[in-house]
Amino acid sequence: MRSMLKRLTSLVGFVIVAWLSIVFGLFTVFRLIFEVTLLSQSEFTPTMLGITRILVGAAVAVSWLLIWRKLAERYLWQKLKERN
Amino acid sequence: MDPSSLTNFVSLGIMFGTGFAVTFLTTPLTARLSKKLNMVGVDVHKTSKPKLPEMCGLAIVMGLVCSAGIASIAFPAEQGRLLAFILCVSVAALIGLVDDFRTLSPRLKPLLTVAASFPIILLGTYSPYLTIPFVGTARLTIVYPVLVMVAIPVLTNAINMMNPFNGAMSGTCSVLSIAMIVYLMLLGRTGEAILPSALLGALLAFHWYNRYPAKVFSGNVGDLSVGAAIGALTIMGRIEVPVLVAMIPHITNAFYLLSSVGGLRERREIPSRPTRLLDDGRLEATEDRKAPITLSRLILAEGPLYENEIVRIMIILTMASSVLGSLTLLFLMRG
Repeated sequence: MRSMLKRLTSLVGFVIVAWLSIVFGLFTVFRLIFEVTLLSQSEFTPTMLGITRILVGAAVAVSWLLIWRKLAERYLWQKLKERN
Repeated sequence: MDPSSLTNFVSLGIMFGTGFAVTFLTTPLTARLSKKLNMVGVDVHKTSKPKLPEMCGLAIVMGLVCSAGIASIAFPAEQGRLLAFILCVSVAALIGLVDDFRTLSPRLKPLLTVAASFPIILLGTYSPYLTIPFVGTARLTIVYPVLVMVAIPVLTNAINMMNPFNGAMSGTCSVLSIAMIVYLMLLGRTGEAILPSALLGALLAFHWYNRYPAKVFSGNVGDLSVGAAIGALTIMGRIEVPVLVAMIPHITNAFYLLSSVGGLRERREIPSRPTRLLDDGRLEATEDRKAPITLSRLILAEGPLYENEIVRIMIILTMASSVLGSLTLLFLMRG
């Protein structure tokens, strides 16, 4: 029962980290990145800005995923090392 | 209780009952059909290695289609959405059936499942507005249909990857269905929860046969159609962000798996398994660095467990993420 609870606590911790990264990631993309405007305007500015926003937004999403992966790897190898 | 609320709850009950009854009655029939067609799979997580009928998830599809058919007679104004739902589930089920009969390449399957999103886009049963916590509503007229085409394959394949153990898919997706019903109720749109209720009924009926020790497997037909149903209901119900949160265990499992094996690969291309069966029937995480990282391997990292204990943890994690989904919804409502 105790080991089950310990296991669940760590895994629920992962879920909470993933949740926080989704909420703050969406906030960063839609409130900060998508709101950026440039002072100097030209014919190509809106297109370039649109592409840049999508690329930076995608980079934020990839960074969430990399954080999740690093945490999972660290947890797995640490636990397996302790087990042995 | 005012009459409209009572009507809504009666509708939910009828949809739940129809989904449950049709799936409960047709699962043994699909099992018999699967055996006749020699569509059986080995339950590799049992020491006795029993052979069980596959593609019994067809019973879930029947439960969903019958419920949506009845709903289209009872609610003629909703026929467009119901038709989009039936088509989306049917296309995913067809791809799953083809995959069950002749294994599709892991790169082709996600591409084909994009087709399941077409009924939603072509029948216009989506709203191109995305409500985001602490931000408000964003208008995504051009991007939203693209997101629909990405979301359906991602969800169908994430659910397909979360089905390694008896009752894992039916158990976790039952929790997701309850979460969707609660989200719609919190938003004051109880009447729109008829299809999630039908999905819950169908999944609980199937769980009766699929729970540990399983008598049937859902097959790709079941996994892909349930994934498409959840995707369609999320998009049509405009509960994208809360469901994304509720599906964290499924999405992280799929991402860990794909990133650790370097993309979409066939099972035989993966050099080592993430878990191994011990003589006492328990499962343990392997130490091989080449083995993929999966949610089940993370659950087992602390020590060996029985299959039903792993599934219980998966269900509890889905419950935890569903509660976080409700919190996210409350943030959305406040924003």
